[in-house]
Amino acid sequence: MEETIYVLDRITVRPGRLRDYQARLREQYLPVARARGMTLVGQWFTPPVELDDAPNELVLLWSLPGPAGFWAMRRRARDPEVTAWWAESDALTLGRERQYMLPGEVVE
Amino acid sequence: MRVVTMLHLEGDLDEPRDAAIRRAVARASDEVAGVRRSHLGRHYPGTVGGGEYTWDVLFDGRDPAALHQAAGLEALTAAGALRLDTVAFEPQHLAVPEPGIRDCVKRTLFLRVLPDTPADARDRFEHDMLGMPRYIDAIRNWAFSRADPELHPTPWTHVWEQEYRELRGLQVGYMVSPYHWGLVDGWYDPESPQRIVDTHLAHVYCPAAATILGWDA
Repeated sequence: MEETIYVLDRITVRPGRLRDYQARLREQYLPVARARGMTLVGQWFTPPVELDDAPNELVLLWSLPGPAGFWAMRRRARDPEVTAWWAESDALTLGRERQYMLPGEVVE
Repeated sequence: MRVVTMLHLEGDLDEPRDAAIRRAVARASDEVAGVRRSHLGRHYPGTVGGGEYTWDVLFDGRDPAALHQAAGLEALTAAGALRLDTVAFEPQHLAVPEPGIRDCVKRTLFLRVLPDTPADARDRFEHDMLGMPRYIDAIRNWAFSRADPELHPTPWTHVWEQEYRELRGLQVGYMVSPYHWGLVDGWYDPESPQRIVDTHLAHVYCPAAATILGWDA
């Protein structure tokens, strides 16, 4: 069985927009992500209250079923729904990062 | 200099047409002054954006356009049956630890770093690309080069070439490497905020009896 790949999104959400952002994420991106084989493991926000005068950071953790799942997801990265989502996301955020991770300790 | 051309054909490619293309390229290689080495490889199925053939040339001439103007090829391009997409460059980053490789797979990627990309991002991208052979054993010989539009006009900015012992090296070893999907791919992924490479790529691979990247080694 292929090792699970984890995708870490760290998104800096504009002041006062966290609740709105999470709702749009749930309604618009989550179904598209699921259709591409991504599972939302969890999401966290910090500071742990929606601020109206400073950004919040939203952390999303996704999983993918190994490299084959990664490339299946990537083949659909240009789907119009994906492009539209990130354009909408950019209007509500100040920046974001996406990183890929493997669990556990390094093995040869 | 190295001159790498992807040949794009209009319409179907049957055996007589394949033979005609091969004759035209062989004739150009013979007739154009300065061609030291030449290899024409027909692409395997599954390539994207690069047409039907890769034509690799080691060129001592001054103007790669002379290759386009060779009689047999010009007749085909003038008729609209063939389009040549050429990149020229002086060798830059190159390693050929396996010069005796035989019956291998030559893979070529033409890519374009988007205009207005900050120089430091481009430098980090190039650094990450240059690390791939250290982390991906399937890559036997390789070259990573900036295209030189002064030598031949092109919209492509970089050429990433590798030689593998077998297709599996490219299709499995290269693709399952965490260095590839977990680090390098973000430069290409339109969903990644890190992306700086145009999504329009020419990704091709063809058989080669012996090394091409090691011609001048």
